[in-house]
Amino acid sequence: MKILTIALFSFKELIRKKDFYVLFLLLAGLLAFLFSESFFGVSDIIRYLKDIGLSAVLFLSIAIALPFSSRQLPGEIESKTIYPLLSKPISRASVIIGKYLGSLLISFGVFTLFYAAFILAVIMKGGQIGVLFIQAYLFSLLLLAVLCAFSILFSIFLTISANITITLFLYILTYWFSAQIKLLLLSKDLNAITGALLNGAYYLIPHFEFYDLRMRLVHDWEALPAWIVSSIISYTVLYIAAILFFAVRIFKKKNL
Amino acid sequence: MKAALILAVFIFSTIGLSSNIEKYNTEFLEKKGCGDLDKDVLSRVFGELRTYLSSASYINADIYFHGGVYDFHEDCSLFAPGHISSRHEKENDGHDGHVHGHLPQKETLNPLLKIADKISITDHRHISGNEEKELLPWMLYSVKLNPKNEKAYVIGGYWLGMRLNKIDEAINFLHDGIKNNPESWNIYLMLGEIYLTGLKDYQDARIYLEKAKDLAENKKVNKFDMRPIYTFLAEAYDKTGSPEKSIRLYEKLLNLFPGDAAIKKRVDYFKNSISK
Repeated sequence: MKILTIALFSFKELIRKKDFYVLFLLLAGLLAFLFSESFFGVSDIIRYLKDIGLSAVLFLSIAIALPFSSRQLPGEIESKTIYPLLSKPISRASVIIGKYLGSLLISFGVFTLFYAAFILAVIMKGGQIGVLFIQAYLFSLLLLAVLCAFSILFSIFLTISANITITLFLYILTYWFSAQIKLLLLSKDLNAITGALLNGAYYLIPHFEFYDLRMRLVHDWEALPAWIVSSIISYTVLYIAAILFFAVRIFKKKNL
Repeated sequence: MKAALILAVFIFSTIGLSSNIEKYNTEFLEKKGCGDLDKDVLSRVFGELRTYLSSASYINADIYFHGGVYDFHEDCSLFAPGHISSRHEKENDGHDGHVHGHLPQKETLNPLLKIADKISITDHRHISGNEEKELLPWMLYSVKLNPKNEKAYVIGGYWLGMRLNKIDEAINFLHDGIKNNPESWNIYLMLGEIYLTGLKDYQDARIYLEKAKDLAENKKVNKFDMRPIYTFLAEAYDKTGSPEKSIRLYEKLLNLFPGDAAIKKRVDYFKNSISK
């Protein structure tokens, strides 16, 4: 209940701020532009709209989710509102979980609205909506959940701008690195030590590429089998639990 | 917040005004007698970066052609000769819409690797039929970003004219390419090919193919590039009542490819038709 109150408080903060409205207008403008484009007199070109549209939806959702989650704790600490909060019978773990759930609520809400606008544009352009659209939606929520968890963890010891930068770097670099490590592990004859090190690294780094179904969606490939979807959900839940566990541990030791 | 608003206003006003500004600039430069200057707004905004963006757009067309996978076989690329010439049988080339096998990979016990493998698209297929129109945006952006991208004009012209049956659009597109790249034998060749095989307008085909031949000979391009020029031009000469010129071209080809049975057969065919 206490966690839920903290989460809902975070959500109200989003409603007060106008970032969301501006970015939603930006997305609507972009989708309208993509929708109205015709090339050499051909107007029913759909993959181009799906590709750029979905990338924009994801990018703009991250643009709201990351700054929002990264200013949760520093904001409370700077304005000293953390002290009355902690003076109540609320544990530090509850604060972290509450802040995380608040960030999730915001990210999921924003992404859902953006994604609905995207789906509307695809349908109006004559596109077919299948199971893969539901999977892409679910996986994008999982991606946002992992990014928010990292952002909450980093917000304990980093400034807001440093937090956003590091989280974005982590996202981009590990996306690239995991593809490279995968190639090495699958295609080269490695010696035992290098193989073990690379395997270890592969287990440790976050796999943001798991959540990227853009190419699959854009080019109408078949939906993923249920066992892959459930494996990725389980992987994400475990990964987030580990990040939040460390976040709680660090926050408990932090001198406020 | 303010910055986001300003950015949004800036982006929308740029998109809205760019076409008008471009039109105004074009008219202004033409009045001043400098109509050949680089007039494209995108070129001015992106500077040299535009050439990289143009290449990226061009590569994206290849990725789309392969259903989301960047091609790993050079001979299978969208830009491979087999895809840009009607000399290859379109219906029987065994490429359209097919799916290649999975990339060869080592077996692994790592469950995350197995998941990653299942998620990534490693099968390889080519788009076909009505799907081919999906390549067009990237071709157009490629030349808008870099009007000097000859390849994008040639490939775009091929897909428009030879595959999507949009002959008029292909011709306009290629003429635009010639305006920006007057020395490109490649674009003249594609234009000639469309007039020859698409429109069956042999007289105009001859004009463009002769231009392609002159430019290519001046640039001393390799014999493999000369082959389609000579072949198409020989066909155009034949159709416009000059078979003796066709023989001369095929004899030139025979010098470049001595012993080539197909060329020899064509020489014999034309010689026989003249003697009859």
